[in-house]
Amino acid sequence: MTTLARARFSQLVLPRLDEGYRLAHWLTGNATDAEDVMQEACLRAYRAIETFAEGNARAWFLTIVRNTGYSWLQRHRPRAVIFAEDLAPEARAALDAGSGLAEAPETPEATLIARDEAGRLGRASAALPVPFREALVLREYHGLGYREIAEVTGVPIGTVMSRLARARQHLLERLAKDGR
Amino acid sequence: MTGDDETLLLLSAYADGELSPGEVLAMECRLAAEPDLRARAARLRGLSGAVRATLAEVPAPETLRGRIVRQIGFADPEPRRSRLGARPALAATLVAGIAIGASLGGIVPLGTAEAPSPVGEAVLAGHLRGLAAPQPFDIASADGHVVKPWFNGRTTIAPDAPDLSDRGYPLVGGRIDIVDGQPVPTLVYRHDRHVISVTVVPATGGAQAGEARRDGTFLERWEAGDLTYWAVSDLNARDLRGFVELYRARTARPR
Repeated sequence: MTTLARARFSQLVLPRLDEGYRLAHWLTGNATDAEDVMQEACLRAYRAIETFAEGNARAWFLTIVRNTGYSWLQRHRPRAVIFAEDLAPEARAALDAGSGLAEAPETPEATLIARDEAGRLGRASAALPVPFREALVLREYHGLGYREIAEVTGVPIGTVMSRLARARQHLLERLAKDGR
Repeated sequence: MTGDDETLLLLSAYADGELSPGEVLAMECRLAAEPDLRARAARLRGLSGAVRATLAEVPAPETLRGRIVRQIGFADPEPRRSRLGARPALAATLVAGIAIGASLGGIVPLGTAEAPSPVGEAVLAGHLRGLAAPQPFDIASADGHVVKPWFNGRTTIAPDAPDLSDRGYPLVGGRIDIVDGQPVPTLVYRHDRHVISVTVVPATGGAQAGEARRDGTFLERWEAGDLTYWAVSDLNARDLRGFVELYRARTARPR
């Protein structure tokens, strides 16, 4: 059994380590914690590998990394794990759509965001509440569809859709503000 | 939801290719007619490209793969006899793997306490998952006569759920955990701000009462009748022991 498990682990998990690591990094916010989460996630994946029958190995592994990351946050930084529903009204308003668009640069060209803005974008992404950040990372970096994101994060598709829209809106507003 | 909110949702989903054909058509008509909307769509596209590049920029450590391979690889070849000697090879393998993984990367056991068995691992995972969820229980009730019957039809075990609030351990609910592929009942108690999970599984025999510690979480295990009880908490060992003794005393029945 262990030979088989190891073979499957090599085939299913090892190729996805970097990808998993980046998710862990964006969840926990730093390299050391991301490595700890990855080690624990890989151990969990290894133990569960016999029960993974068929299907989307990528979503399966990312789910494990995501859940491990959440347990980690809960244990070490319980305040970081908040849900949109728990946000104070002002914070929610900040994530809401609307006002910021008027302040955005007028020409579309100006918003094809330049390379030197990447640092600001990275900081703005890191400052998003965890549920918005993870939706953004799973969509933009991992390229998952809404249905897959819903499975990985355990929320309805509609929630995924609104979290993504708000995360993007928030980033655009932040960039527009910083840019002036 | 305001109209603007909805437009934002639709536009974002349109950019992701997640709209239904009908919605795509409607959105394209709107885009053709509304220059403002086109500008917003362009901004979103620009943002997506930039975000993607930014997110991917995080360097993955080159040593990660090596560490993971060692962690898992070591777990493989030589099953080591555990202290109790009665566990199957797999258990010993995993325990060894965990111990070695810990010595390499610093995840797991501290001190002298024994590392948990696979059942213990599953019980612990259930407890941690409970902590990570908005609530650590599926049914919220301080009434044992509500919690106990709730398990009927969901698992084959319905443990007694005494209320221990008079001693500072109020019952707060119950949930279902999966151990060894089977749904099993877990009672959830609180002590101050600590959560205590009591998971009940069919006794496998051989295992003595004992305790284990893992990353600041304590597990206590005991047998009663044909059932094995696991109490898991980040309480300190003494308080958890006190809880276990109390629980056992209240659930003991004359035989």
